[in-house]
Amino acid sequence: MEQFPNLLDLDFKTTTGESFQVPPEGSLGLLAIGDIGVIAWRQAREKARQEKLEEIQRKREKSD
Amino acid sequence: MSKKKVLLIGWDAADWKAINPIMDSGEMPALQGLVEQGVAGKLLTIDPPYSPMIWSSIATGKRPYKHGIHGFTEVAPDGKSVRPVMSTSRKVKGIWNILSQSGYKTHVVGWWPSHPAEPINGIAISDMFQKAKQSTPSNWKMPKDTVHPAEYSDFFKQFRVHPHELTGEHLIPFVPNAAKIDLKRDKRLMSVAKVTAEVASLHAAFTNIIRTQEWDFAAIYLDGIDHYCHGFMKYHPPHRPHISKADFDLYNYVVTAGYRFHDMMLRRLLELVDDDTTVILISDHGFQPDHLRPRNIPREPAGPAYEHSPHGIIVAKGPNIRKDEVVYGASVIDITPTILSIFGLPLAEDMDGKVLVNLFEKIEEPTLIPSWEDVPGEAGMPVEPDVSDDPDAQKAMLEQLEQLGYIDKQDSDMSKSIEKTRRECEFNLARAYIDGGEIEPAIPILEKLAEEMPDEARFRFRLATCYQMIGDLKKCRSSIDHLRALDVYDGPTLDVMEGSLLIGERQPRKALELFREAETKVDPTTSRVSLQIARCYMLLSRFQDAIRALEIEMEIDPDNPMTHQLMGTAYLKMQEYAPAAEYFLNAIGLDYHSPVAHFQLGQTLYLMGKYEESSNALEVAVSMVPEYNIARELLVKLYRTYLDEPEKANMHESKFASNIKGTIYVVSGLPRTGTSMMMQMLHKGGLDVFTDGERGADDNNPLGYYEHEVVKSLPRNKRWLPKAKDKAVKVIANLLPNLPPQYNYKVVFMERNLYEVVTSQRKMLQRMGKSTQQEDVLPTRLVQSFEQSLKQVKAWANKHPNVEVLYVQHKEVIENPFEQALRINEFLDYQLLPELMAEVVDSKLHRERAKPVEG
Repeated sequence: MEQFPNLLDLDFKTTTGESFQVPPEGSLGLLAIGDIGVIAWRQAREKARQEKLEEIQRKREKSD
Repeated sequence: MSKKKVLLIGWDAADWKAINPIMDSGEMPALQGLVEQGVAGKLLTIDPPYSPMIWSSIATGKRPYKHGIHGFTEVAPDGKSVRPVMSTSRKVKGIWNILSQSGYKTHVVGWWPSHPAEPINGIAISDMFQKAKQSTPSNWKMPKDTVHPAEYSDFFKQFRVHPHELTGEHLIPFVPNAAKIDLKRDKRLMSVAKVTAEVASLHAAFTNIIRTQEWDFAAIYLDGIDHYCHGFMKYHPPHRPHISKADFDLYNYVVTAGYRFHDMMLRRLLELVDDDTTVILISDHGFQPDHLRPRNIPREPAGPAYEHSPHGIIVAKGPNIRKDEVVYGASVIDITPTILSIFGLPLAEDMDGKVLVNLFEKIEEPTLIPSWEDVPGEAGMPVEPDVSDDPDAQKAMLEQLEQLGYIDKQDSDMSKSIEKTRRECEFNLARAYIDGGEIEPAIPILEKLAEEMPDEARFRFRLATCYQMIGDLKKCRSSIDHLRALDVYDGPTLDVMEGSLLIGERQPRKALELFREAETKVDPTTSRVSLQIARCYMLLSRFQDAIRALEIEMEIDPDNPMTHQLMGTAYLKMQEYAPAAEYFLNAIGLDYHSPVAHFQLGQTLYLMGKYEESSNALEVAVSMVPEYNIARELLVKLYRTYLDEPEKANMHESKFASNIKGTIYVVSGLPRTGTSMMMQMLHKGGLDVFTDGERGADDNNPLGYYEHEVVKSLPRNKRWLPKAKDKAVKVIANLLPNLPPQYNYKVVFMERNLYEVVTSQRKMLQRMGKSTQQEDVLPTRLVQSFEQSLKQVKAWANKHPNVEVLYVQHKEVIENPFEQALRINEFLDYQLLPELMAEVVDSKLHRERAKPVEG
């Protein structure tokens, strides 16, 4: 079965044809895309989580 | 050469009445495009309108009494517990099994019921895939046998969306003011999240399959619309007075958003298929968005199903599908035969549905086999799982069904739950039989249920309806009396039932009084009282009044096929053929599976001189009911006299003959012409008689009446005729034309001087204490009416090849009994003993002799 690469580089488009970045909060539109939308959303969520962790880490290091 | 592919999408409870305003406002562009590029129409459901039963009929082309799914839950095979219905509960092959064994790559996702996943030639994902139960995203297990092949289970797991994962971004489109909700007190937003996550899970798995796998047939079933509607249709605009304004403001957009979400998913699916794919989108039933939805849900199992409407949707688009057309007369049982025809596979005689030929640009005549069940090959039928496999999953499913109101809360005493479940399944089975026109097998089931649960009004009510349908009016009345005693239904509701019974007894005046009385007190949408009033007027030959009542009914519900059919009948009776044809066409459009409507359309077109069209309609009627001999008779006439197609005429003539199921010996005549005496002669001579012995001998008929109560119901009830086969039955003269052409009739028709008849009838009435006209006044009008009636009966007898009549003079029988007995015996192929027949006759019984005619 297909294993998913990083999908966040894909050019996601709205129904009106405008490109958009996958938001970590997800959207109904992403759910409607199906497998790729769900996985991309989770990747975006994970990426945001990592970034948040890193940010917290940086803040901690600064405060230390 | 292009490869044939079919994508089947199921949206539970999708309904045009809800969709059209949303689509018109541009909020369902994918569906709009599908409709414009293909055909669309209503899809008639079956009764009971319970989703697992219907989706199994969709997948098999068979009614529930053939496929074996009889409800939401069932007693487990070991008899010790209750479980949700499963794929293993289905006794017959689904379309995916047939296609699998025919070598097609087939995938199916989320069908209800479909657990355990069936080992088909492709991927199957069961209806337990998406259920999150009480889990969290981190401890969400997937039950065993959810995915076939099992080695793909872990891969597909990743597509499941847990309700807790959803964020405001997902839910605000449904509930824009979600932030105002106190989530501890109001669980409704959580239910939106649950439904949305479940639908998204199945859609994600399915998109992956059709995007990455080879396939010929792929099917997905989504129950989101049904759940959004059950939860939130009451808040859907317009605001109803009994709904709190605060609730309306919060939740009025959920249903619209639910449809929009499904449209977005549809758009994606359409992106993923090529031009060789036939796309079919269906729903199993509709959901009343308007005043037809009951305000209060009845407190009985599966009560929420009262919110369903009988018409779902069908939309189809594809290489051989007509463009921008409306499809009429489609039913849920037609889907599997239609898909088989797309793949060029044979249809099966044991399927109840038909190919929806009007979907296609062109279609080849399908071949026919007796049954797919007998065709060998690896079909991937499901295997009963070990019950200990995943009891938690089953428990969770039961809980969900309870929450939705489809089943009662499970009793802590398992034996009670088991009994309750068994009864519900049996009740649903009886309803399915009734819906399929099989009344006889429904009756013993309902009798047993009514006996077991005498206080359960719904069992007795259905039973009363069945009794009425088979013409057992005595049992019907006793059931209604029982219902009155139960005090479950209010007076006016019972009056409506009583009125229906009176219609059955052909007492339209009394029925009309009851309906008029009840009219202002009952809910017109559920009681259908205007339709009943129209029926009364029809029986009274007051066709204009019937039309007025039907117009009222149409305002309440324009989609009831029976209303259109009755309207057509009223216009036909008034010899206004153009509107009659139009209404019959409407009725057929709403319910194609009505052979009577096709016949009536054929009859009307024949009277309009449209012989070709008439033959088409009649051909449909006989294709649905091959024994429909009245239709065959008209077809013979059409082909022989008007269409110059003698071969077809001969074919129908021979089928007419082969449809004859035997001979019934009929004794007929006007009342007081010696019919009871003739019945006794035949009986004594050795012929079995069809009587109920209810009306015993009296002064008016010292030999007894030899009648059967059910015969009086002949105009609407012919189910008793098989019991009268090879027997003598007394049928009053004016009922003779109602004898259906499925039997040969040898009619011994008693004739008597009409003056004697009238005098004898008068004497009889006097003996019964009923007033009559002055004795010595010859009632000329009555005699004329009798003459007219006799003329009509004789004309009827001459017209029908299956009717032979021997006219016997009453006077001759009295004066020369043996001679007449010989004559009758000859007519009845020498099967009687004339000397015994003659012994019956007592000349003293001939009390009213004709006065000598003067001049």
